[in-house]
Amino acid sequence: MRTVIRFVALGIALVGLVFWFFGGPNLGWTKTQVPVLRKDPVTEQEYTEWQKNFVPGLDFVGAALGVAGLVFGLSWIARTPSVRSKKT
Amino acid sequence: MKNLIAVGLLFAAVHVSQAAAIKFDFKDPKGVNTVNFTMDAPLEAISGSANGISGEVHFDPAQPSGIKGTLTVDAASMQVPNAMMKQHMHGKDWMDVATHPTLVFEAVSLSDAKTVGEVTTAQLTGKLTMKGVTKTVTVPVKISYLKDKLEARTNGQMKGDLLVIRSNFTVKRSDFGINPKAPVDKVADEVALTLSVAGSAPRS
Repeated sequence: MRTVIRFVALGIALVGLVFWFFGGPNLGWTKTQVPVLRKDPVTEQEYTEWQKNFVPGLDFVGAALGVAGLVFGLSWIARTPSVRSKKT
Repeated sequence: MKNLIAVGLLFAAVHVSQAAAIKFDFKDPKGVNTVNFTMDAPLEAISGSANGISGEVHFDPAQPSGIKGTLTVDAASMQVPNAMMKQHMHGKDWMDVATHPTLVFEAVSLSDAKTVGEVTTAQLTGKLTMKGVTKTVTVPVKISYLKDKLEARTNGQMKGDLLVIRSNFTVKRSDFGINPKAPVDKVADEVALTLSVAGSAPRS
């Protein structure tokens, strides 16, 4: 049981890191929309258009590692079947 | 009789000077008119933009120093990249959009004006109102008068002129009561603003 929980924790950490890495890797805050710069051809004004796009940031990685750590911590509480059978 | 003529001439002169100033409407359905803002912060600078801009400016290309007008920014149009951050920014501590729905700049006077071709650079003094607090500020501006360029911008649908106003300046958020309690080592007090707006004056 402990091993399974630890693998789950590892999986959460890895998925978080991989998702962050291939989504940027963005060293800032998580973005739910990104600015796209445009230019008006007549006035030559640069202006911003916002596009919906999820870009995970360091807070996302932190949250993923935090959850993974919590799940890993739970593995210390869980008992393995072998320990339980020995006691009975 | 002489007095009557003098008064008549005075009225005529005032009328001519008003007539020479062109009224530019800054209502912008395309969303090109933008105010960008940036505040320094530890992880990354907080940057965003607002494009809900409207207003009117009276500008005489022959006498730029007589510029008058008001620009209004819809506070709810302020955007940042993070949805939660945007919610905080529109909230009571920061911009309090529900109570103060607009940011207003009213042009009062223009000084140090230098015109080269269609571009005037100058120092514009005006009244800036944010979150219900009004301060007099003087900011550098670059004003481009684009004669007969409205047609190109509207794909030939309207004839007229364009006026483009650009400015970069800094204000302190604490001066306007924008979350003065927020520690400056978390979010800088200085807010860098970049304004780029275009108004149109259609001609029949």
